[in-house]
Amino acid sequence: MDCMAPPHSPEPLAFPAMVQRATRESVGDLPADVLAMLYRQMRGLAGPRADLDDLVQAAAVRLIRALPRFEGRSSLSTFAYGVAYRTLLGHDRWYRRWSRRFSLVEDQEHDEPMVAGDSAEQSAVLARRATSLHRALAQLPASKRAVIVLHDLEGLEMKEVADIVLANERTVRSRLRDGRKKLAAILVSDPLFDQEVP
Amino acid sequence: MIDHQRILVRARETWQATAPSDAEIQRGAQRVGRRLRARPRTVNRRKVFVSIGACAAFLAALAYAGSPKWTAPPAPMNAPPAPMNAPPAPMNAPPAHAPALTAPPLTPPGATQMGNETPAVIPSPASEPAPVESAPSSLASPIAPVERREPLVADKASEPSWAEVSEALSDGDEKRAQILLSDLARRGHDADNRAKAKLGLAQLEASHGNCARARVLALQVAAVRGIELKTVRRALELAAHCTQ
Repeated sequence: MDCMAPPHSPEPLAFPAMVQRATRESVGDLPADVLAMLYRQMRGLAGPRADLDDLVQAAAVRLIRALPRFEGRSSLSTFAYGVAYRTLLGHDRWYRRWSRRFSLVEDQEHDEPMVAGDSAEQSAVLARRATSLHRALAQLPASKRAVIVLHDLEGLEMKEVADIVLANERTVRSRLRDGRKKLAAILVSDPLFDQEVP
Repeated sequence: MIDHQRILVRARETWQATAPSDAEIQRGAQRVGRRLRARPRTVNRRKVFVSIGACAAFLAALAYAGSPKWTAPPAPMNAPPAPMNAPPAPMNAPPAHAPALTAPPLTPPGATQMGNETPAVIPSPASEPAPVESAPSSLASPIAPVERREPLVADKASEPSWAEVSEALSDGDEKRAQILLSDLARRGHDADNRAKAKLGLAQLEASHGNCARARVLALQVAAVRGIELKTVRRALELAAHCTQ
């Protein structure tokens, strides 16, 4: 499976100045472009969910606190991806522990994503397919879901993925292989993925 | 395997086709940015409240520690004894007997006689004033207590000494001795000194036959906390003698 070009290439940022400003100022003064980048990354990792804003907020706080420790060995986008990934892992871990003690009503279904397609039928198929894809991704373990999203769907390099998830490349390849198998096994039974988009 | 690859390619196409638009991302980032900007204000407001509370508690603690309660001001001379339930006798009541001859002598604060003391007869050191029984009979009338109120923060230099009291008693000037003792009972440098001065006043009263007044003063001395046990015992002895 060859990787395509990443759909969202992070814009170059004046990082040193931003770090200095961020360490000097409060969390609320995080630059808007960094916040948008973080939102996009968290949206990709977590999918459309009700607590996405909370996750982004927690990741932003974590990012602004982690910025002074950033050594510049990777890009800011990779660093922010790592922060978002660890925030999501922590949140999901807390949620699992919490839901073990309390019975929760399942989160309400989200609206299907708006798709700008050529026709209404094509948009509807794509929207339903996207919903199925997010549902299938949600069934994967977090570590495998992250490497699939980052490498296969977002198009990041293997080394970048390894930097983000704090694992070596072999581990990432192993997780990727297992995750692909599981994801394909889930989606193969979905008729939406068995047909071409009209 | 081919199916799996085809499915994953379609998943990637779907992912890219349904990626959130820039407008959606910007809206979400603005929502989170508003939250982040609102967050430090609440934290700062809470910090302000906590700081104000801590400062108030600190000032209250300072005020409490600096209150006159800790300096143990002398009790008012005419206050009835708290721990005893005997009704206070009138000040000018005639004495039931003559306890002045057996009243224990005054003891300066420096003279410690712990150990082998006998309740009735206590040996007096050389620096102690003359026995009260040597007082002239013209001064046997009830002595009005000195009711002068002085500030709590006394001038250390003007505080009378026990030597002056002893000298006045040696000279037979009981009026002056009583004034000095009253002054010392109010402005002594510690509670034990003040209690001993008040006990001296009680002994003077007892020597003049004013047993009721002597008993009141002795019981006041016995009720003072933190003074030497010897002083408390002497005060109680004097009160007991007066009631006999």
